[in-house]
Order: sequence, then C-alpha cells, then structure tokens
Amino acid sequence: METIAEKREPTKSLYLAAGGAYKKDQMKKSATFHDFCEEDEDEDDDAPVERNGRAGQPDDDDDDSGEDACRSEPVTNGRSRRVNRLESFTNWLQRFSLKRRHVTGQRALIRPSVSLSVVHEGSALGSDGESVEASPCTSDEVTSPERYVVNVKMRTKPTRRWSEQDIQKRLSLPADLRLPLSVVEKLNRTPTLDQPLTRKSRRASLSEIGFGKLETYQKLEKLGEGTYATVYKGRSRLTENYVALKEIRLEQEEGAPCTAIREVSLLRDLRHANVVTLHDIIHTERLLTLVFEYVDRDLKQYMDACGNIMSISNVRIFLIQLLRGLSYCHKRRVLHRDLKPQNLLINQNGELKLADFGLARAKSVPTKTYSHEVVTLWYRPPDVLLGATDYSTHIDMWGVGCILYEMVAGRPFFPGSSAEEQLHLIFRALGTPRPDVHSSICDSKEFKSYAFPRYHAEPLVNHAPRLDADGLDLLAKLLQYEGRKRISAADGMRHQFFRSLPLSIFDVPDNESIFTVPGLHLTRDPGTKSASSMMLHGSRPGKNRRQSMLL
Amino acid sequence: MLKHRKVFEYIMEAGVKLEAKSSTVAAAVVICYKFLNRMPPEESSVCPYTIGAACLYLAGKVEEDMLKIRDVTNVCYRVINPNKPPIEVDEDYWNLREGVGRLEYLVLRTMGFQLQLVHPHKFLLHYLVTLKHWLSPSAWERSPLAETAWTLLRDAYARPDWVTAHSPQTVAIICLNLALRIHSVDFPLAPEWYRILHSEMTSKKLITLSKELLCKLYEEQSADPRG
Repeated sequence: METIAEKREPTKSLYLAAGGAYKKDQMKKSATFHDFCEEDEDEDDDAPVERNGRAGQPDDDDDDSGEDACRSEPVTNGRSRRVNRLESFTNWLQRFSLKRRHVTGQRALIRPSVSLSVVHEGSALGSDGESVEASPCTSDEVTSPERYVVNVKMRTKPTRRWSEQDIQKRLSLPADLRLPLSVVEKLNRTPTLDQPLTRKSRRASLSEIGFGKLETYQKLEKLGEGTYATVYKGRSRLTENYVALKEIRLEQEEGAPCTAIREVSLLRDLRHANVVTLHDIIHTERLLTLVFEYVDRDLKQYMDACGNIMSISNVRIFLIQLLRGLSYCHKRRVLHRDLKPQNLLINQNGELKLADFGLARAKSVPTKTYSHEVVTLWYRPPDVLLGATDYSTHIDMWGVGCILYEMVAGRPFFPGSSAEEQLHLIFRALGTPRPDVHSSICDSKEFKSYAFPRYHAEPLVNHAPRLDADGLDLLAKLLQYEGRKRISAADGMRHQFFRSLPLSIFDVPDNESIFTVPGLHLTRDPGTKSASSMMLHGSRPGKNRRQSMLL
Repeated sequence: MLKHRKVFEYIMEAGVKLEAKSSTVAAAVVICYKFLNRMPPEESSVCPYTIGAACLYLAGKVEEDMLKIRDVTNVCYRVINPNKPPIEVDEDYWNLREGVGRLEYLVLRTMGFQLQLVHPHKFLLHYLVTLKHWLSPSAWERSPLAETAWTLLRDAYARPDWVTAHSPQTVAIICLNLALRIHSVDFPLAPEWYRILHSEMTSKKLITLSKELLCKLYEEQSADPRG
C-alpha cells in the first residue's frame, strides 16, 4: 500500500536544509519543535506536493484534451445523463491522475525551516481550575449559541433574579446540587446567565460553582493505591455526597497513562444507571483527578458479607442489572473486557454499577498491568485464553456466566492461576472442545499445543444445584466456547430466567435504576447474619477496600 | 489552502514512518485539527508541529497502538530535519521529549477527553469485502482496487476539514468510488452500488463529493501558478 508519505520518501533529499538554528541557549525547561515554520506564506505555496499516491492507474490514456471541459461541467441531477456523466467523470479522473503525475515532479511536500525553542510553560501548560465538567454536562451542541436560540425562548428582563433552581436548570446541573449562596449572588450580579450560553460561558459558570476545582472536594481517607493512581474517599462540598477521588499521577515517563485516557474518554459518553458515573475531572499541573460517584462496596464484598449464600431472587436482580449495563455499553461498541465481581459496584439500594473501564475495548487483553500485577484470568473466555484477538462483545458474556455461577455457588467457577490451568479447569467442568462442535477453538494452534485430555462435560446442574432449569439454560448459553454462539446482553435480558421480574423493567429509562419499578426490591440473603453486620462489613476500611479502581 | 495543511501532512508522514496504524494516523490528524480550531488564543504561539507530535503520541494511546514517546520525538525531529544528524540524547532532547508529553496533556484538557472517533477505515474495509464478492475473481485481481481506495482514504486526511464534515460511511464510499473510477470498474448489474452499501448516498452527492475531495486533496496544490 502506498501513501503520500511513503511516496514522498525518495524526494526527501530535496528538502531544503533546515533553516532555523538549533537555539541551544533558549532551551530551558520544556522544549518543543517551536517556531518551526517561520517561512512566509508565499514560500509555502511554492512547494507543491508529490501527490503520486495512487497505485496502478491505467497508463494507456495520454489524452489530456477536454479535461477542463469535463471538470467545469456542472453537476446536475439529470438521471438520463447520469451514465454519460459518470463516463466523462471517469475520463476526467484518469486524465487528472495522469496529468498529476507529469506535473508533480520532484518537489518536496514540506519545506520546513526548522528551529527548536522553548515553550513557555506558564502560557501553555499552567494548571488551573478549568473543568471538563463530565457529569453535569449536556452535549456541546445543546450549549452552542445557535441551537440555544432556536430552542429556548430568551428572557429579556434585565432585572430577572435567578434562583438556585433556575441556575441549576440553566446550566443543566443535577438537582441535588447545592449552590453556595455566594455563587448564586455572584451569578446574579454578572450578566452571564442572561446571555446565550456558550461553551465558554457555561464552563466559566461551572467553574464559579466549583466544578473542576480541587477545593470543591474534601479528601477523606485513602481507599487504596496502585501503580499510577491513588483512590481516596471524598466528599463534595456542593452536594455533601461522598465521592471517590481517583488521583492519577502524570509525571511518569510516558505522560498520561493510556488506560486513564481511555477510561475517561469512554466513560464521559456513557450515562446509565448501571454504569459508574464520572462526575468531574480536575486538572492540576501534575495530577489528574477523576471524581466518581462513591459506592460502598463491590459484588465480591457483598458476597463475602452474606457468607457467599445469596438469595436466588437477588442473583436475578443483580444479573439483570449487569446485563442492562452491558447491553447499553455494547450498543455503543464499548467492551468492558475485565468483568469480575470486584468491578461490579453495589450501592446501598442494591443498584449494580459497572466500574473500571481502564481496560475497556483494547486490542489485546493483557495478563499483567504495568506494575506486573497479575490480572485475574478467572473470568476470561477460552477463546481469549487461547490468544484470539478477533473478539467482540461476546468476550464480556463469558464473564457474566462466571459471575452468575459465582453468585449462585458462592465460589468462583474457574479459579486458575495460569492460562493453562485456567483452560484445564474450564475443560474439566464443561468438557474438552470437540472439533466437530467447536471448530474455531480446536483449529487454534495454541489449543493443539496444549494437548488437553479428553474430558466429558458434566451436567451444569451438578455444579450449580441451586439454579433452576431456566437459570441453567442461561448459564449454558453464556458459557459457550464459541464466542459467536454466546447469548448477547440484550437477548440475555429477555431470557426465561427473568420471567418472574415485572415486565416494566424494560421500560425504565437508561439513567434510572430498575428499583424505580414498583414491587422490585432485594430480599434478605440467607447467609446474612443481621442487617447491621452487613453494613459494618461494607464500610470496613483498609485492606478489604476494593483495589480494582487502581488498574 | 487549508491552514495548517502542512502540519497534517507532516503528522501523516511521521505516522507512516513510525509504522502506526492508519486509524492512529487518522485520529492524530483529526485530534490535531480539532485542537488547533479550539486552541485558546493565548496559547496560539505554541508551535503547531510540536502539537502535531503530541497528537500523534496521544492518538497512539487512544487507538491502543502504543507509540513510544522516544520514537515519536525522534521521528518527528527527523521528518522536520531530514538533513540534520539524528537528535543527540542530551538535555535538550529530554526537554523536547517532555514538551511533547506536556502538550499531550494540554490537548487532552482542551479537548475535554472527547477523543473517541469513528473512523471510515472499517467501513471501507467492509465495503471492499462486499464488492469483492460482486466481482469475478479475475476482475478483482486485475486492478488494485483495495490498495487505491485505501491510499485515497489515507491521503484524504490531508484535509481533515473535509473528512470531519462527512459521515465515516460517506467518506469511505467516496474513496471507494474514486478508486472504481480510476480503474474503470463498473457494476452493470448494480449501477447504484453505493445506495446498496450506504442508503443515504445519492448519485448527485457521490459525484459532487468525489470531485470535491479530489480538488481539495490534489488540485489545490497545483492551483498555484508557480506550482
């Protein structure tokens, strides 16, 4: 495959010698390829591009005549003449491409006059309280002035007094947000709110309220520490709610960590009751702080607290929430890729939230983090364990099956410590794949190299006797070796297993919890000693805190 | 002439030399284009080529095509200074490298982490697979349709303004149409193949946009009388 750039390579020697000097004395703190192109515009245009990137166009057409006529021909919608026009267009194109080859010559594309100098840190890179306002934001289109004028009737009364509620509405803020009195006062003194709202003015108002400012969040105890991030419990001074503050250090070799960039850019587009909410992003010079909603505990801690015996009705409610959150993500082509009980947060009301999108939608699923902590293999599907890279949303569905089993049986299904042991455990329980049924697995080189013994599948009911026939059917559909055969999250929600749940849960809007449906509530888990001991366990600080936010 | 076009072409060249994926280069150009449009005026003194390097580095992370900051710095320096010896590893080098890292952070902040892009590449790939089944094997072998279309798509990023103004499907169809015209491949049985692949495409739009892309991409350069 050829590209402009590749094609340009031979002409590289024709680049003019770099003009600007390498200004050593100017190099201070952080340098850039600054002021590179001090050449004036006339010279720019002087350097046409070697544009011969097209491969294999016909060589036999040397006729250049009529090119201009073709090109200037106005394009109309006359259907009768369409074929004609296409032909002439083709001719034009061929001539065009041919001509370009004659014309292009051996000219360089960029003719840079280069110098290196200093970027003034203060101007470009200073820290501030500017916020990305992740959580309370509406989309940019809505706040763009033109759209705004169209949609909203402007109030022109200059004497209008903005109440707290008005401001909340105006800036599309959550209703539970308490605006400091001083802010209400100040916003009333300035004309910001009376004018059409632009991205900039909205941001300024938000900053006024306290979004994107570190002072807005009171740091409480540390919840955990990882290679690049530290997680604190915090409290927002605006809502008095607890938040989780994930501080990401930036001074590392390779800049902002890839996982953090991906986590933020993915999460800021996801708004769902079953996906953890990113409230705010705070930039300071060397620190990026992500403000998440605070959730007391994860599914692992929940299961520990009830002695690993959950009521089947609660299993059903957690599972449907998990599928609901996943189907939302999958619809947006976001894969989670690291589902495990530690990444499913459970709040006081029993709402389940998918968390930790650090690994979401990557090309390969790493087995180790940057700190060489081992990422658990227990919830990995066999195709991925065998090195498949062409996976899609079904990669998450295997993990759902493992989690369903774990909730019902009270222990992980396949607690392997290496890829081989992991596969061994899977095949011993579900049977070794057979070439006639699981062709894609059996064809893989890795599978052949392992030479697993031929296990016969044991009925799932022997593994999970507490599960009824519907549950076993769903489990079997989730734990399919062939990714394509696994049930999807959306189909999973419609499975018989959930038939006892009210149908109206399917009508709940994305951003609302399924507990808004009347009659839906958690029951007491048989293993729980008492409600108070549950709470105690859930809020125990220290080592039992979830560590997975750190990935 | 599009402002900063040379910056985009420089990103494309550096990307190819870094052996980055096409989608990484595409993301880098689009991020850079959006950033330059959005850049606060008080920071307009920052060199666009360093921003380009930072965008390339950032795109590597977004597209999970991990580029090393060392390689990005070295290759970008080399693209800009083809006649100079490779950059020495000294204090200036480390400053330069840190500058790229810090600009990456500035881009992240200014863009508000809105970096997830849907590229036309996978659509083009999908369309090409479909077309392959429509053509006889010999007709498919005869002309390097796929290569031409892919090259056009990669080149199209010299005009991120054009690419971002249209849906990824449209961009892919236009590149495919140009490739078909260049190689004189027709579908007598499906003259409206573009409607089959992408229902929103019309023949008028197809012709207009195809010409527009070619002109913007290749014609504009020679429009200069001295060119």
